[in-house]
Amino acid sequence: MVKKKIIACEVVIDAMQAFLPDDVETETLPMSLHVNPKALRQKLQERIDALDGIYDPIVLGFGLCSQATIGLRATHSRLVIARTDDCIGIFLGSRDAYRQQMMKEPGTYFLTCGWAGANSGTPFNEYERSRERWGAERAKRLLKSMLRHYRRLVYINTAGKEAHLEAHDYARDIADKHSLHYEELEGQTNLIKKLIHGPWDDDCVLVPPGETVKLENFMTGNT
Amino acid sequence: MLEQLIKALAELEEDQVLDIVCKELAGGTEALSILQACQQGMAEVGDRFEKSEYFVSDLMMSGEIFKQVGELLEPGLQSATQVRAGAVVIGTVQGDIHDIGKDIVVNMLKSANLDVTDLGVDVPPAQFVEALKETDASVLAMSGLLTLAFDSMQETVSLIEAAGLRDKVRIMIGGGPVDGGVCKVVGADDWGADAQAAVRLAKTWLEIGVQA
Repeated sequence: MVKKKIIACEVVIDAMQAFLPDDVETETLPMSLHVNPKALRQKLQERIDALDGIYDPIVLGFGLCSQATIGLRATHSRLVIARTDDCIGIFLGSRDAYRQQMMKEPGTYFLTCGWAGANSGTPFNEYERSRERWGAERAKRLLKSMLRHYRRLVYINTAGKEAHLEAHDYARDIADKHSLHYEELEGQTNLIKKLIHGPWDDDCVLVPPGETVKLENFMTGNT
Repeated sequence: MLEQLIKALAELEEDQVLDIVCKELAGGTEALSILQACQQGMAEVGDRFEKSEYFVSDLMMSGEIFKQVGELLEPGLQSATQVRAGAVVIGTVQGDIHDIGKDIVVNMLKSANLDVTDLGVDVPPAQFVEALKETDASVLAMSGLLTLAFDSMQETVSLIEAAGLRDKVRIMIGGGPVDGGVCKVVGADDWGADAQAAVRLAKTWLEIGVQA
């Protein structure tokens, strides 16, 4: 029987670890790719091409990710992707759960353990870089402008990672510093488990061999 | 001097950019030419980001500089306008609060002598419909930076259809992840990759009218 293979972003793979059977092979891509969707798409297609026909399905521990997954294709294997906008939707359990949170407070910045680290590319993280380059005053003004309409910072407790306490403190500190209302949400594991074990139902995008991942798959599901 | 402006923006030299813009305005250079030079500088910033020469913080800085340029140019643009060439309703869709790009489009539409109703951010579909009725605008521009915004764009188009306004309104969308595929899925008429494209679309539509 042909085995499945999981390619996931390093942020997602952390939350997957607790549910991964020993015989499931995984590959991890760096989270830094998320700021450049074209580069992420290229990298994903390269990996799919290398695994095509050898593994089935090829499961992507990604969402739409700024459309980085649109246009991906395997000739011989099925592709499975989380039907969410990005990993925040994966951690919240579904695209709808994510959307509900954004409708409740659109000015929300989400952090998870994986996103609380250095070089994560968040505005908070980039603040340090801009401070070095432009000085504290400009860096502050820049961040203030970026966060103009943000009101809430939500920390999602994801499964797995051990460094949670540190990440909590980081998130709470960030919220405090930037006058954002701090909230914590319990991460859901249903979508993570589905990606690993199936069923690949409407919470996932399931693309047959030879077909291309389309935006419609994310907007309306597989039907 | 405009070459210097393009270079200064590409290099993210904030003070220099603002200084050149003020001097150009004082010297009588047309605001639109200044905006276009800045747009070229922004394109260079985008190229450098794609080549990994610039970081996210650099993109943020370019947006901040461009926003200030827009503010500097706006009064001049406003005083230069005469009879409005047409009406446009614009806003960032429900569930999304990003407006740096949208505000640049607003400034450029105003500079193109259009009557712009800016509904701000997190705009519910019903509010777009209401504004279209009130202003009698024949162009709607919806912005969104998040892919979550695609659903709101789709819902807004549906509500415009349900209100019986779809034949009277041309709809464009824009924002970071927007492309032709998104345009098709949400049911818009066209999309703009940058602020100039948005203005080009609005002008074309308003000159030729709808279903002329």
